[in-house]
Amino acid sequence: MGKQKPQPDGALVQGTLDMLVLKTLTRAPMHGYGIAQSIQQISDEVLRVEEGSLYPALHRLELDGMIDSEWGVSENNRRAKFYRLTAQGRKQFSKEASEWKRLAEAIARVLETA
Amino acid sequence: MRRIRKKIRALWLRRRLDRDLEDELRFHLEMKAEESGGSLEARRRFGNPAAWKESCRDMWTFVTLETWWRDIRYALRTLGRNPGFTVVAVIALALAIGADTAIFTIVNGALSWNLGLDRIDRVVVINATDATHSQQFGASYPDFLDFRARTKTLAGLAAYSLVPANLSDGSGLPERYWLVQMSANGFSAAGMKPLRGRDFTPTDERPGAPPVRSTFDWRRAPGNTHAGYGSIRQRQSSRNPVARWSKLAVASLAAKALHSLVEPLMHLVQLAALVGV
Repeated sequence: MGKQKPQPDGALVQGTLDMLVLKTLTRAPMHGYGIAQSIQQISDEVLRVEEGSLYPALHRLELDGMIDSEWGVSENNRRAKFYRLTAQGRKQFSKEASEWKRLAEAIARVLETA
Repeated sequence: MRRIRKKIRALWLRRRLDRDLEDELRFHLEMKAEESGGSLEARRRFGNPAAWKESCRDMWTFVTLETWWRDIRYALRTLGRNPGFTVVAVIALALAIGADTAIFTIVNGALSWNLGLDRIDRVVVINATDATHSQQFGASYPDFLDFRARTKTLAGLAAYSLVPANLSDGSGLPERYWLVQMSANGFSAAGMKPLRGRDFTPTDERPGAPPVRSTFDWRRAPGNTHAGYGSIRQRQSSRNPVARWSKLAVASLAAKALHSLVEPLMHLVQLAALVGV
């Protein structure tokens, strides 16, 4: 566990990855690869999810009971581990999302002030 | 709590956990290979799979406990490989612990801890404690007054502190003494009565109060090698370092006696509360 390397452009703001993962899972259960793809595509490739942080985040969320996992079959017939949002995870997501919105609006207001 | 439950479950499924991590990684790499057109490229973009697996695995296991267990086993193996060293170390430790215990037992048995008081089991010491640093120190004089005024459990409460001072009768060189600064009720709270003269009274605590000369029997004090009696006098000289404590009665010549009385407690005690003696 070395020091964090300087993040390239589009690196996620610390602490937002969990929220984005939870958000992605609100639509449907998904495997890790799909979650990373989804975040990348929906953000128009602005946000890049590093595997090195995605999987630890998934396992941490699972241990905390925010998500469940289940082995299933992927779109192209491969065995894949699917993650599913739990009720607790759903609650956690709405909490984090509203907190994030509040912060983002506040920052925007500060930036817009001439 | 949930974490621990899940981790314990993972303990039985250790092999499955490893396989699952492996499978999850492989699936990801395969998908990535399809996307970027080549497994080499996928691997390169992925980074270090071993580090990834390790950090995920650590989450599911009791890393600290397992590391300890491994350390213990390693230590035992190393000791087993050097029996000579092990024997010497064990004997040294055994001797040291044994001697320590023996000396403590003898000293504890040989020393009298009653401090010359009749009801030492009823004596308690009140200390202020800084809970954050678990540090003990005495109480301030105003605190002491409050304690004494409000206590319902203690028969008497007296304050004292030890101060070093150079005393001289003006003819010879000054000598260094340990003085006891003590509230006027010190002796009475300890159940000691003067052999000659009178005990201190609260009025003796006032600034400018006249000196008191009295004699207490301090031969009872353990560790006291001076036969005879000490006489007690309140010092008044303003040059005396204890003068600024003039609220407290000061015993000068008896300081040595009192010092031996309280020495075992010296670094613990600032405020002694004496109960039922």
